[in-house]
Amino acid sequence: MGGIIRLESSRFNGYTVSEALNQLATDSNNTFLKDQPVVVQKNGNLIMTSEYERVLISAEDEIIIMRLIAGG
Amino acid sequence: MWKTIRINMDTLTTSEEPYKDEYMGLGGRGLVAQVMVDEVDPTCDPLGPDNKLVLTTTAFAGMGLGCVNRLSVGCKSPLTGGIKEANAGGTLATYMANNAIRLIIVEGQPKEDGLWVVRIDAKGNATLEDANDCKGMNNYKLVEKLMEKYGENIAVASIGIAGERTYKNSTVQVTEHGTNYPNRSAARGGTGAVLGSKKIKAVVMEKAEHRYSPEFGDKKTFVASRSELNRILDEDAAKHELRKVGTPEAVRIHYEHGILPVRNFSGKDLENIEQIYPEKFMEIISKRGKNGHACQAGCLVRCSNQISDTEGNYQTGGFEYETIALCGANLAITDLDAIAQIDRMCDDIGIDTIETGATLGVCMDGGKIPWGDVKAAIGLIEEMRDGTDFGRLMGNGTEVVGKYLGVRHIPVAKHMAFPGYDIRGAAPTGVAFGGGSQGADHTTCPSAGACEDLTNEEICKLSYNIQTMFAMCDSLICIFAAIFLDKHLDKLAALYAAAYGGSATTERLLGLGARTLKLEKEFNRAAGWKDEDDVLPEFFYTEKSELSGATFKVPQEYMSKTVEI
Repeated sequence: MGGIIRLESSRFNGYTVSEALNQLATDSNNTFLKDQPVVVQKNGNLIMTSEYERVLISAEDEIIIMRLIAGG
Repeated sequence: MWKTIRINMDTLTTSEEPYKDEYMGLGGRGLVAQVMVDEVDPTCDPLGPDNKLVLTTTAFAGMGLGCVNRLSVGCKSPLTGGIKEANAGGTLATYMANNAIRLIIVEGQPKEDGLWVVRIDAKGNATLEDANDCKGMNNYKLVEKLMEKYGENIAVASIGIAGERTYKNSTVQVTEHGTNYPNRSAARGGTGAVLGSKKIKAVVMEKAEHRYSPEFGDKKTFVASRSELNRILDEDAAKHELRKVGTPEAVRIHYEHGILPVRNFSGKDLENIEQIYPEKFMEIISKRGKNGHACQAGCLVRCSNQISDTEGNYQTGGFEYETIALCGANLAITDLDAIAQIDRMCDDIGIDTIETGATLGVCMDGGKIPWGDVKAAIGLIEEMRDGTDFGRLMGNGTEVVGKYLGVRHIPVAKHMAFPGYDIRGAAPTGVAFGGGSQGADHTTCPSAGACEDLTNEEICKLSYNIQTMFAMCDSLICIFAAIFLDKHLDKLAALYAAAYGGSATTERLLGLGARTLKLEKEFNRAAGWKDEDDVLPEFFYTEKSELSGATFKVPQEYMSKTVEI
């Protein structure tokens, strides 16, 4: 399903989280990356959205991206 | 200074005390957790004199930031037997903040029969008034009567007949901003039953004569940061589906992700699903309703709505995704007007639309009434209202009714019905339902993804991170505003520091969420919850959903360790 992605870290070695998300949104079917909030987890730790442009990805990192959708 | 109002139903007295210094900076779910740990014996009978009902606001309420005037209702839940926090928009949190009241604690139980209203006047003084003439009234008529008696400038939190009868699916209903209809619900876990057990029909608060102006650690910084965040909220929300449609927007997304519950969480397809899609909802709204409505003062997201019936009469407001999911798709009902009618009935009687929809689902699965039969579904809700034997059984929730009918699929965790999340398509949400402290509560961990490629540890870690975020949000701001502030959490941290002092870090904000989860787990363990209680219905593990193509896979031992004390 399109709600979760395990990032291929080796492909994004040296990218920031922000750059990786933009690239994924461009070349994948996961359109949710373009306009919906997501949770990004790096090696088990939450990366806050305000840090996406600062945090770098290395080839060894375990990066998981999940779409956040809430009903109410 | 902020203050606490205490209502003692043993002695039928009220008192006022200074708001504790150690509670400064806490609010909403986080404050509920702290007060419950500080003041309530976790082993108490939830409907007995030793339980307490806590009403509080977010930590930012009354400070001029958008989307923060939200009410949290907390107690030991008669449904789950653990701690409960349920929050709602509406007017009461605003009125509380403007009256300098951060916390209302209701404790004890009257020895004699009777019914009371807690009245808090325009000066912030609380009294108990006789309300025996309101006995048996449901919320809409009750609010009309209270407004006749106390005037139109009041905020009300009340119970219907369901709360009076201490149904475990009963709600505390709150009057809505702009209309004063009691359509906002602190819905989950039987909060209404706890208020009913204390013989309180309603809390009525008058508009403050003098609006309280809170003290800030650094007012200049606070005001500047607040203006910027309010601008961001307003601009971003204006472009988003939440403003344009509201939470019914999620019906399609959840269905496509295999998360929408269909026919008692069967995991199967639903004919005519398009009849409850956002386009159909908007078609009705454009003819006889409105959206973009603010449920609380100062809301800049404005995801709420109102809908009229086919004759143009107001039917309901706050018609949300969860209600459409549970009282619609879950019952194979694809008539939005019928679902809106059910929503209205639930708000009026004071019962949770999620628990009610799931209960009707097991009734249909068990052959009590046919799938998709609106008239029969409404008939069973009327039985709850009228207090027939089966209606009273239904008031005890989905699990009790499912077992009574011999149904194999009973979608509950910690005795609480699943909301609009089929966990086979949302694994982190399943972990939160199984191992979390709030039962199967929809606000604890919204997620999307079967996570078949992730290890159990990774799913649990993801769940913990999302649970932490949402526990933080439920202490500070409406979760639908948090969607837009997510990119600006550093600014929210700066605002928090300007209000309360200390460091302006996002870690500090997330710490509020983590602390809340630990306190809740501590309370529940002391209440008797054990690791072996952290279980989910077997069918989610053994029956593959045709919609998500997945089963749920995380074993109990992983879920129990997700939040460590």
